[in-house]
Amino acid sequence: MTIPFLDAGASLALAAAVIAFNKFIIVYFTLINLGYVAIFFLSMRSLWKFSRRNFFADYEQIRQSELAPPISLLVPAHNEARTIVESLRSLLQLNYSEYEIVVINDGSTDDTLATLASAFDLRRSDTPLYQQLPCRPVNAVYRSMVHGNLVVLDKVRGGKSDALNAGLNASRYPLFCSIDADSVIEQDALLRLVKPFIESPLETIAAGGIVRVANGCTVADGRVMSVVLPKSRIAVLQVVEYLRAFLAGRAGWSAARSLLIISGAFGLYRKREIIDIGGYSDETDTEDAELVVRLHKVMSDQKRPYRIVFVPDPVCWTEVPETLKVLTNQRSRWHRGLMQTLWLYRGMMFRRRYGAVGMFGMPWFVAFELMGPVIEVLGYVIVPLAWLLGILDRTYLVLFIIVAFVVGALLSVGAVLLEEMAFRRYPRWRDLLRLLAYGFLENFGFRQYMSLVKVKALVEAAWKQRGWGHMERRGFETRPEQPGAEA
Amino acid sequence: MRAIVAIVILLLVLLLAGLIVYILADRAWSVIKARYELRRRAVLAAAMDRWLASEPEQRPDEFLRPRPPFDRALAVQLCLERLPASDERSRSRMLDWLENSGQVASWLRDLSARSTWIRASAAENLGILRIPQVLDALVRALGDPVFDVRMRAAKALGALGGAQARQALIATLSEENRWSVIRIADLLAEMGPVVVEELIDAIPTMGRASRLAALDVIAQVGNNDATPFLSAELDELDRDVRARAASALGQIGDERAIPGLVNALHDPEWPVRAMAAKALGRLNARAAGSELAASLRDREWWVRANAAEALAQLGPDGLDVLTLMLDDQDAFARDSALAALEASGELTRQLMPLTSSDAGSRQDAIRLLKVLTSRVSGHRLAAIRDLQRDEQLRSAIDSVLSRANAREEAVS
Repeated sequence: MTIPFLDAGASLALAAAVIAFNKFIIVYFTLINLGYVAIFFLSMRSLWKFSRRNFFADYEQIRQSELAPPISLLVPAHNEARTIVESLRSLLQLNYSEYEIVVINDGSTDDTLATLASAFDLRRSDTPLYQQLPCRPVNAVYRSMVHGNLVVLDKVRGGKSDALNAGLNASRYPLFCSIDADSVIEQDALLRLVKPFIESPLETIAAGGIVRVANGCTVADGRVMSVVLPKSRIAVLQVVEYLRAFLAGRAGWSAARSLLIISGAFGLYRKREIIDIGGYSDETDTEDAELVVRLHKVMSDQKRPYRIVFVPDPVCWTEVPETLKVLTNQRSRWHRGLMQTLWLYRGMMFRRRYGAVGMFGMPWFVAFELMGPVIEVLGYVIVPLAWLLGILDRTYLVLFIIVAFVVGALLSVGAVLLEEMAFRRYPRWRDLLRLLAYGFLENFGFRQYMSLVKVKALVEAAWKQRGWGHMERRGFETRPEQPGAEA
Repeated sequence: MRAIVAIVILLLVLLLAGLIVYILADRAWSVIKARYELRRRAVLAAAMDRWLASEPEQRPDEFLRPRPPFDRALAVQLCLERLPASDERSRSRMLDWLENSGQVASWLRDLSARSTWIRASAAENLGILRIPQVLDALVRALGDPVFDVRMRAAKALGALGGAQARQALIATLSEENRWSVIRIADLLAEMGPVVVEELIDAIPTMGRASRLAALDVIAQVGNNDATPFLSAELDELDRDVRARAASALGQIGDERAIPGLVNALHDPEWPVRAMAAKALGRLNARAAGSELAASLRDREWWVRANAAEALAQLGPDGLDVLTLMLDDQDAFARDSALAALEASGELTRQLMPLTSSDAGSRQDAIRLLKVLTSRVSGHRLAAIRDLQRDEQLRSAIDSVLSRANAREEAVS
């Protein structure tokens, strides 16, 4: 065990350090994977229960019930002239008894407003806004003459969170749902998403649905007509990723009462609580994750019993990026947002008061979701290097490779299993085979690349600003929100 | 160490391969099974049609000796699907078959099976039969530890009806899950007014969710006898109880409720205020006009909208109040009054005299238009004008407005 260019003593010390680090990496990898497997089983249990129970659910009854709470849909839009009309047509067809749509035109520089005005016969309205949350000035409130439940706010550009706050000020109903302007919501999605609010109206304050990849599917009249896997490889990889994140991840986190993220693309909240905690904040790059963590914090601080849940079957279809460049930017932003959020609420860690979130969810996210990519990338470099230099036993190398690749593949394939078990949304054999193949293959290259992107995002963010939190607002991107905890 | 690693690797790889094979096999199995069942179902359905139409009864072979493996289950499923809509003769034939083939007994046994889902579907199926023999078993199933089973049993009992079922259902209103409580409430409401008295007796011992549900049932099937009880509920501590009680009073429609509801317009909680306003509209409470007008200034949209709608329901008095409120100091009040006047067509009615040639009858309409010009923005006024279907009226509005504009310009 000699290393060139070093004298014997230093060489020995270095070797000892490397061996220690290698062992640490392997232990870390084993732990993280065991954790993911545990969450996988939690997810599986809750999905199984859910699909059995769902078999008997009477959504038609919810639709007809006067007791189904009315919902305000908030749709922030910035330069969406191309797609906004079609998105709204799809939202106007939702299967739900009483809801309104509030579109917030956030200082678009294209003709979003004019397009809306001509498509829905918008007229200025004098309705004053109940300014419960601060937001940038609203120029005008428009009401559609064709659809009584469509309102459009025209406001000065302030970013996505500011737009949502303005929408909250204008909204009428006790529940609100944030929706991305470029996603398609399935017809029954609101009925399904509102169920926890009806079942336990006092505790439930937020619920998130599942986000699926729309690329490749046929969309007509604002509805997804047939579900087919996209041609683009990058998009299929994301299909697997989203399945893993939602079905094998969030379902489990929700069952463990520590759901930290609800996608901004499709989440339902009780308005009272959100206004009480001051609405959306633009302190981080991912306002959806920040909001949920803040909700957890404030509710626990006030010692109020509450539930924040994931519901696996209300579907929001969203376009995902098909080029590596856009995908890289998106993931960098998500990871930066995760970091900022965890940093803002670091005080919640290991505090009894915050229950499962403080003792389990937050530490897990910091140790594994946030730092995982760093350790992973280090591992890919150091373990083989140590073996090459003859410091590391081959057994360890093999163990590392197995844990890194095979367990990852098991989890991805497992996510496909959950999909098959509970939903089976991809009816074609070809698609099922492709899903399985990509679930296996994503662990060789794609996952490593994503880890690298995340490490880069962390390093850059740490480099750019000493005290994080004073993030320069990047304006809002119209990209779909995060599938979050990658399992 | 090496051996352990080797075993771990082997196990993991096997697991992975097994998982993939399982997923594929599962998909293949379900596809094949679905196709087979579809074929057999068609055969069985045809046999069933023959059987039910035969006179005297001739039970076809498919039902006498169901072919394994799935025929029996498919045949039972077909019966369950057809039972609700079939005539007496077919019904008794099917029930006879289900009982004699031991299916009913097997479902009764299933009610105490270990698996929740077997119990739940047994309760559901027994409910479809609607035969009194199973009443006791279903009442017992209402005590099941799992709510999915209880819900199915409740639904079955609701379909059966009768005093015993009623009592059992009222007792089940104490469910924790609010949605199942609502569904049980629906079942009770379908049983008709007989349940009201029993509910009022049971309410003092009920928890919060059941109490809310009981109030909903009373709202649907109750009559004036429930008014004193509901009015007393308006003083409860829980805001939802108060809101439900207010809503129920409106639905029942007894005028004795008005004073209590007027008080409720000042409730600190907005859902109560909103429901009280709505109820006053339903009760046609003319005396509450000024109180409802004050509610137009509420900061919650829902209260304002309900109050405005209620005023519009009160007839001429209420509409006059709404017109007066167009000139109110409060922008929220003006906006909701205008919206209600537009929605009820009253605004058009009041502006219509503009088209008349008689100066005297135009007076009021011109005054109204003046109020609108001073209180409403130009855009909104233009929208009001554009929404008038009558072309004459549109041009009359235009001419009044342009004259007013000309005068203003002359003054300045």
